[in-house]
Amino acid sequence: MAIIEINDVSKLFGFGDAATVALDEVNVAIDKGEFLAIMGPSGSGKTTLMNTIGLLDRPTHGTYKLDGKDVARMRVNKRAKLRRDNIGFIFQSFQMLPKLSVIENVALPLAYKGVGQTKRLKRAAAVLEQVGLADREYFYPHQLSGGQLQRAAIARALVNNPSIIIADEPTGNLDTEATRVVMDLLSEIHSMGNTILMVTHNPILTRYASRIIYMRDGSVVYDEASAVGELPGRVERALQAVRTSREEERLAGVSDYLRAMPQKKSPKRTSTKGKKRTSKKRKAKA
Amino acid sequence: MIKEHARMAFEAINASKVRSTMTMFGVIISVASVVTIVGLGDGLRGQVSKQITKLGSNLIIVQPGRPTESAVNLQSLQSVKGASTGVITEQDLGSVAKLPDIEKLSPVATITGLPRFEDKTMQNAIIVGASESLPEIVDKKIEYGSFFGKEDLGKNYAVIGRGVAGQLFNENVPIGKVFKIRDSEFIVQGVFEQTPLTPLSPSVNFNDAIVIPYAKAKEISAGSLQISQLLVVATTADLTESVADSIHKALLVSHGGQEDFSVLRQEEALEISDGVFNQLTMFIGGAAIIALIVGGIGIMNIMFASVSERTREIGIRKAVGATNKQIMGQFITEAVVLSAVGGLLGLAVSVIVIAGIRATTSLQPTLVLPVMGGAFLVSVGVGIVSGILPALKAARKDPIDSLRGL
Repeated sequence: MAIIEINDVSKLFGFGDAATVALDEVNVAIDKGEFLAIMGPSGSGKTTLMNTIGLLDRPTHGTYKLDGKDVARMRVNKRAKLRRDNIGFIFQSFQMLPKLSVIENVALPLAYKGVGQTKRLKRAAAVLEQVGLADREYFYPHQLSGGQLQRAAIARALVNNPSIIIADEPTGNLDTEATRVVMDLLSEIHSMGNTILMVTHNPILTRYASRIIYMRDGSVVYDEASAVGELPGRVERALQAVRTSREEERLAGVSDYLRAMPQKKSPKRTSTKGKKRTSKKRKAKA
Repeated sequence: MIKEHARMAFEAINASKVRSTMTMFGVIISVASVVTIVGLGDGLRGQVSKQITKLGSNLIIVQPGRPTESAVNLQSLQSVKGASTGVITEQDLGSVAKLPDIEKLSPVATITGLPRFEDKTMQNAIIVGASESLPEIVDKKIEYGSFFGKEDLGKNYAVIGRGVAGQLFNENVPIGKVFKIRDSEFIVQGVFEQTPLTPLSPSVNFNDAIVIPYAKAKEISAGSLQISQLLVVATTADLTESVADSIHKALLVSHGGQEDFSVLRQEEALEISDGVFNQLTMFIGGAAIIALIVGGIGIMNIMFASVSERTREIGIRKAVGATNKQIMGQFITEAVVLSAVGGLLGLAVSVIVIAGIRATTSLQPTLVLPVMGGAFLVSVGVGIVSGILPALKAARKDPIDSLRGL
């Protein structure tokens, strides 16, 4: 059974003429144990989709079932508790609390669950050991390198045994070596049966994923399964098509690759008329 | 979770020490001033009551003027000076003297006039006509010489205070020296012991007093002598009330039914002075409460700033599953910790100030425990109230915007 079921989910920001469509009737079903990579240019709705799945955001319309439960219309506090118990976040900019030590940061979700201090530090220590930071427990975030910080963030995401781990560009701020370490760690967590959703701009990283989704203008335009450890066919073809022999081209590689991605199939709503209609529809629903 | 909130609150306050201290100043100052001022008032009340009680519980004071007009100026040697209506006449003195159960009786009558010794005069001397029992009634000791006795009432004897001895005679013990009041000669018979000056009762200054026999006073003032007080001591404490009643009745008759005098017992005097101090304390306490509210607004201000500054932190906490209530709890706890710590520091300041006042002045302020507890609780309450709005703002922040630091 799919752990995440998203049906016709739309997300609009703003009202009337100023409304922008961040998600346009997206349909996705994700099974337990998948490692999903989400790709797409900036503004394509990847992060909005992640935030919606992560219960940080509410869809404007559509249904979202998490573990078979409809969560799209849930109250704020209930969603906070679900988020605490089911979802672990990993962010591009780590998002550690600077005044707390690493182990306290990792134990934070447990604190909000009401776990006692001793128990929660024990659990946090165990997870930190799992990510290879056992000797950094009482360091403060500013004393760690980017790769170590991201591993600590992964530990924080894991500490509650969540059913989904959401990673929004986890390697965006890391160098090649740290990227490799972090991705290996995510891969290992995946192999233990966890469900991982990862947004990335780096096509190479899709080799760790079991399924790749491409987004553009708020819609899922392509959905491809691939064996873990291999680059999916489309990515490989695209990478081969784009020569990256020259320095500028290598730097521009990612965007060239993105240019080679399929266009959105449905006619794009460019006229204000269309947008007005959307907002009217929304108002009618409200 | 509360323990958790408190720990986080202390960390947050520790992180911005200077700002937190500045914030706490409002609370510190208002709590310290409430406790200090109430302590001062309480100490003064204690001192005044002690003075009143010292006179003995069977003292009755008869003063001119309606009962409400007399109030605090008890046993003042110069309270009349035309301020109050009504007079106490010699006839009253006589009718009181005839009443039973009276052990001691002394009129207190002030005379205007400059005492003159050789070429010197003394402007601020208070000349009082009294009977031989005055020192016992007001509990004053004679340091040198003696007070005039019953048989001396017609003689030109005078007993003077230490101030008079120094200023008029330029010596400590001018016994036997002759000086003049209104051209009548008086012989110094004794010198009172030094009276310590006490706050709020500067009129009880025996240091500047010249006490002469009442009959002599009447003689030199050519019949215009006014009695400012009758001091009466009943034979036993139990009889005080009935004696006061009979004095009241007797005077009412001789004043033709007009109550232009007051008969005060020591208990009543205590009540009156307590009443005055209580009102004063309440008034100042009210002002201090306003100061506390202003302090609370300061805390609210800082909490708002803190919420804006820590947007990202709020976002992170929400992302890892903090509910709105938990975020709110955290910020309210912080405001309460700020105000409670401020309150405690304020109490500490007041203890120091009160100790300082006790050590350096003749005032005897006390630490009033219920007021200290009350001031602390009010400051905690102010913390809760002023924390609510900023905490609500924090709790309602959108987690996505917060994570981006918006």
